[in-house]
Amino acid sequence: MKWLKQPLISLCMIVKNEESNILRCLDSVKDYVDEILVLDTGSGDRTPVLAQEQGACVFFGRWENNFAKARNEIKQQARGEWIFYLDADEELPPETGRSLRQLAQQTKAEALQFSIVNYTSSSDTQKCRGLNIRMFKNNPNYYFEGALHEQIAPSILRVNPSAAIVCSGLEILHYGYSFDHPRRIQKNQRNITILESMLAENPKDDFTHYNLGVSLYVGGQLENAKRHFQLAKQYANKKSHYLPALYRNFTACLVDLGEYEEALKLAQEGLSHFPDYPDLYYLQGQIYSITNLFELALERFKQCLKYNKLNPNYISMDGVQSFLAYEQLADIYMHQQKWEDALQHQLKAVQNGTASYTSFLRLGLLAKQHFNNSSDAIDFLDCHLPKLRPEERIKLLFDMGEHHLALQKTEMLPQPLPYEIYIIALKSAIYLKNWQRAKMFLSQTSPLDKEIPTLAAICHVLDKDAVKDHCETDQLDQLLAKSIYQKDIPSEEHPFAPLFLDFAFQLIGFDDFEAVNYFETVINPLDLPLLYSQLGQRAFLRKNYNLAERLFALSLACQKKGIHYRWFGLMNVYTGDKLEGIRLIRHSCNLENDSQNYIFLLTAVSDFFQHCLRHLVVNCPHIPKVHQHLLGLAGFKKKLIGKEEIDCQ
Amino acid sequence: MSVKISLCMIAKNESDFIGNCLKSTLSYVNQIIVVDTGSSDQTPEIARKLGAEVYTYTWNNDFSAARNHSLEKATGDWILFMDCDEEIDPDLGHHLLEAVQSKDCDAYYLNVKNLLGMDHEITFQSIRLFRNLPQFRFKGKIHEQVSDAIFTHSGPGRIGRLNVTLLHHGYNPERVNISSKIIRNVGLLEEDLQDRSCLDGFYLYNVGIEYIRQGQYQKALENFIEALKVTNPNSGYAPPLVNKLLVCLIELGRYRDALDQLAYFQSLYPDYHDLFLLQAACHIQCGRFSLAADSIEKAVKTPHRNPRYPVEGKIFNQSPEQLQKQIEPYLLQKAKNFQLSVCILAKNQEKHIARCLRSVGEIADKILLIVTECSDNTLNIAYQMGANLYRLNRSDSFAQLRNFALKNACGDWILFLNGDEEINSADIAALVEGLNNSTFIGYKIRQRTFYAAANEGNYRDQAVCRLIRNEQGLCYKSRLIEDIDLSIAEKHGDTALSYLPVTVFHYGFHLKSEPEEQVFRRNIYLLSKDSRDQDKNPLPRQEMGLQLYNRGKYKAALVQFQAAHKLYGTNIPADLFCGMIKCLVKLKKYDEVVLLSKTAVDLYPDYTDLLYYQGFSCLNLGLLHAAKECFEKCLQLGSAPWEKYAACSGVGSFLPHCRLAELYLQQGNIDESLLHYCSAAQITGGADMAIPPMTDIFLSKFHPGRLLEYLQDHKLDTIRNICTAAMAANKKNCLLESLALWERAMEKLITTRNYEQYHNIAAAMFQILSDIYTEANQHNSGDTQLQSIREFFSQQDNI
Repeated sequence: MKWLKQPLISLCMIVKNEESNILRCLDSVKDYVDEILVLDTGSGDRTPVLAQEQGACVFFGRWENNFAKARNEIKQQARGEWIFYLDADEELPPETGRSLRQLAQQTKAEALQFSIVNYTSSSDTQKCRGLNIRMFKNNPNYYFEGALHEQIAPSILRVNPSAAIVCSGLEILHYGYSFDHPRRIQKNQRNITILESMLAENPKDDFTHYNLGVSLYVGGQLENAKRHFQLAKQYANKKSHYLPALYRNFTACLVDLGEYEEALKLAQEGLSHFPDYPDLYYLQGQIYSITNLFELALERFKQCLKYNKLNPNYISMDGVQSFLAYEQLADIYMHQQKWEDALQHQLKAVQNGTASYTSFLRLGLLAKQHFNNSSDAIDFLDCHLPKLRPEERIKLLFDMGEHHLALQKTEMLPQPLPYEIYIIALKSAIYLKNWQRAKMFLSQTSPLDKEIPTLAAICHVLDKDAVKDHCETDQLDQLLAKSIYQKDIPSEEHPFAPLFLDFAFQLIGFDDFEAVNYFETVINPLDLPLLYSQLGQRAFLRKNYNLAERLFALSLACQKKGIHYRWFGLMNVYTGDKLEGIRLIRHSCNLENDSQNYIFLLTAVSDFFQHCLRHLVVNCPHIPKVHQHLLGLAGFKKKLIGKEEIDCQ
Repeated sequence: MSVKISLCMIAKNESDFIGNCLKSTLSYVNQIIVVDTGSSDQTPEIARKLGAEVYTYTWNNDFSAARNHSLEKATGDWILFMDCDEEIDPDLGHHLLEAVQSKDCDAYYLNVKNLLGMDHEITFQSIRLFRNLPQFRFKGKIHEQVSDAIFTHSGPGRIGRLNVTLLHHGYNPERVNISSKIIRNVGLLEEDLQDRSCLDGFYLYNVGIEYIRQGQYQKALENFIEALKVTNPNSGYAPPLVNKLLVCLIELGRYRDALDQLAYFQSLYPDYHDLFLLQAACHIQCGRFSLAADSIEKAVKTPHRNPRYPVEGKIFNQSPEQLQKQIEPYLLQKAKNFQLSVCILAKNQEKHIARCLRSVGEIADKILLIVTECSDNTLNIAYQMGANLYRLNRSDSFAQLRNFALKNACGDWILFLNGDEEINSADIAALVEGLNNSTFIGYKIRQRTFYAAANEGNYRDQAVCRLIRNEQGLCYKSRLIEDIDLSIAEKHGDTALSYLPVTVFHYGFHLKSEPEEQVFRRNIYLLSKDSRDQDKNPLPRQEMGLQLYNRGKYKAALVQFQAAHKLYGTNIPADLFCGMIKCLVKLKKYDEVVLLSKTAVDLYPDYTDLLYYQGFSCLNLGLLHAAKECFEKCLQLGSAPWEKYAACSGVGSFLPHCRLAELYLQQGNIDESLLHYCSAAQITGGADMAIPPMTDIFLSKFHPGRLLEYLQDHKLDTIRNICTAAMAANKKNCLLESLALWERAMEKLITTRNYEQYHNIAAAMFQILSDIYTEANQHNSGDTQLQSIREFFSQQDNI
């Protein structure tokens, strides 16, 4: 680095215990800034050392629960013409880094906004975008304000009310909001504490209420979040920069609470101020979709697609104006059994950016449904997903139920196969009852790999000869017999070992007839109904309703108890025979007055009403009360079972 | 050298409209300027494709600045200014090309036809074509206008009118989300108002228009009033401003104010057709249908449409012809040859008073509204509907108020009403007919008191003296009871009183405007004072018994009735018998009922109510044969004549049918039982009572599916009845049958398209859910998950 003249860009960071992040961050930025200043506020790990190794000047300070204070402290050390700041859990994409210096030299702006791309879940598709000032002229009169969600803009505008704050059009990637981030819950709790203390000092600060609302919402405290969003809205200035985000997050919170009517109204109000905010249309679309008002939902999602150039002032989920909206449209067409439309829209979703495996799988399943024969569906996929890796293709074929093809394709792959492909090949062989191949795959893997013992046991149960060479038969039998029941904490409600349940669930998926035969030989007959019921609930959670129905039928056949009637009844509701389902659940209430039986009954009856009202809407869309009642019923059902929609397909 | 036209416009997210707009102009303009103020959709691409020059402009909440930006870019000789949601009417566009050749004008008015959906439209004129001169610039943040600048620099003489129409889709709810547009516009307007720099009449007028679109008439009115203060009545927007101001007054129920204003403005704009229609609207709202008809006729006879006035032609979405048709049935068939004063006693009846006043608007020559205390909006409503208000000092006697009314009334006849009553409009003709050639002093008419809002077949009739000739010397005596008939009989003899077949509907029982307990206490207090003053008069005692009975205090009621009985001595009136018997029935003293009713029936053999209670008591005592005889006789008699007796609905029809059905069921004769339930259900008001037990029979004795067939065979399969049956089935723990019935009701709703019936379906739906929930709670009291969904059921109360 040259120190002859004033450095151009000073990167300022505050960190604490960021050893898992700091390298990724500094590595992405160090070539594009002229000095790196890091304030460590009390790390107990190797963060400061790692930072120093990357060329940063590290300072040490005390953490006083105040972000603005810490940021101003490190800012004082900066000598650059520009201050650039990042958090340790952020990263610069290469394009941003490369443009940074040029931008700093050429812009006439006083401060520059960057688009922060927040990753909200482990799958890469869920991204949320928001705008934030990250670079500004180094001026001692500019300082951060606010203990949390600190802001620089107010002081800049105080110094010069007409200062240009310009959107750079560049992105910064942020991983801190990922749901699977290890410290997310902890960080969120810390934020809530800070925000609450800020509110104690200034109880009418709208922005703090908003931020607390977001933190509580992320932490799952919906009722509390709603209260603070409400207050933020009450106190907010009509010109506040975060107003669009408030409408969006408040609406999302109401949706999660099942308060659909209010959510719709709020989104509509938001749209009257921000008529091109696609996220609000998207949320409305979701509400209409949940409440079976499909025509209205279609219209909203199509509206999302119109705003294909996102206004940078809006926080927005990546894809709401493209692939997410397309997927929602495909969903609705699926509900309406318009397979061609569904397929076309799913294809558009895939072509417009979503690169997630689930989207591919949906496309595959829809293709199968639409063409009604496997080979056309596979041709369609080959044509439209040419860039799929061979491993992904095999997985896709397997998940589409094309076991034969999946097996065939594995043979074309070079050896040795990746572990995941072995498992798929092995499972395909089991489905096809090709014991010779199964044996071969088993022999090629280490019996210690996590899924292998279960699969070996399944082979053993389904075909005694299959595993002869691989493992001693008696041993396996013993192993199975021993592992059925919980040893450590035997309880009446959950007597089965989790590992055994995994095994049993897979087994029944491969061959339910053999599985039942097997269970009858090894399980205490008194425990059978409970086993079937637990397996059924697992199938239910995985939305495999046909399997669940079969399992609950088995449990009911073994034992005429309320719980089995109610589950079997609910499966009937899900798979189409709503009245029969209600009859069964009603019967469970007559047998036992358990509150759960009644909850199921109310769920099923509201579902029935919802279904009928939906029918009414199709025939006459203009009775205003019906919409209101549909919204009410959907919210009621959500409160009953914590689930929006019974999937009727 | 040809004259060039530049089309200038600003746009943001107009991809739905801009294509059609530009295409409609292509044959007339030489340059297209589009200033994009931040679209995030395809607007700029579409515009460019059609040959527009597109400039991006940072939006700063100022329409004029953005528009002027587009003017700066124009190079043509003339500017055509349009919005993206407008199109040039292709039949008239060629006039544009002729107009720009003229040397006489600097600017032209074009017609802007606002398409409002459903064939509804309003046409205004607006300066949209003007020479490209630097001094012609827009002013105002929204509803910006260039006309000020043009007026200032060129004067009105150089502004022409052009027969070119722009079709404007921006307020068509079929194509645009209007509410969002309005909220944004109002926000801008309010902001603009703060700086006050562009406060002018046209501007305030537009603020008002936005508020009207939002349904905020009060705010709209305030703006119109401000606008009117600074508006020259000859300016172009003055007539529509007046029109909208009147619309606001009418929407706010200020009919008298509206009529006062109309009187003035009609002198100003005598040929403004729509003003007559507004006048008619005021009269219709007040029930003065003949006056309304006169106004409509004037409107129809003013065919000449002055171009100064906006062409609407409809008022509250109705054409003059529609209005005429609507009021025709309410017009008096025969002229009345008497003057009528209507006296209304009211207290806190803002919910009912308008209905009451409207029912007499056509026949009243003067309306007196008399109150002692009133804390709600009743007085305002009554004033605006043309009543004369009299506020008297607090008094503990209604006689005082009524006698005051007698003194202050003028005309030949006086009609007394309470605020929660109305005259049945079908009986107005009978009233006029009766009074036109009357020789009597007073008339009793029928007061019909309804018990429940949902069931019109459930009521009680009695005769009350409400029509009185305006004569000296008549007066009320009781503090509570309407006893003017006694005064008439005393002065003129019994023959001076007669009956008129006119019904007053009384909604007092179920529409509580005052706390019931309070009214009850007051009435008892007044009556006890009466009975102290006149200790030989049985009437106060009897009335007290009635009041107690209605409050459910049967024992105390019986004591009062018995006291009255003693005072009467020999000549016991039928109503007193009936009151005593009803008390005894409620107290389940059926033996005594049978004894007492035998005496009473002998005296009053045509009083059906007595027979019915006799039969009911016999049924409860197991005297089936006697009971049957009574009920059959009830059916023969039908309802008791209202002139003679206070009578409840159904005692001559569906009630005995239901009881006979019970009786046959007890005897095991199901067919006969059903037959009677069926007869009961076919009578107005009887279905709600008969359908549930009928449902029970089918559920317990037959295949439940046959219920529906049976209802169909007997033409009882209305949506309401099927819903009643569905609710009854669920109460009997037959959920599936209940849902099947409900589903049938729903199918019927769809096939018959009788969507007003939806409320029955919704009510049944929530009743079924609520019954399940109640059952769940009975077995699991305190269960937290059940408690957490309680809110859902409390929200459904208003269905």
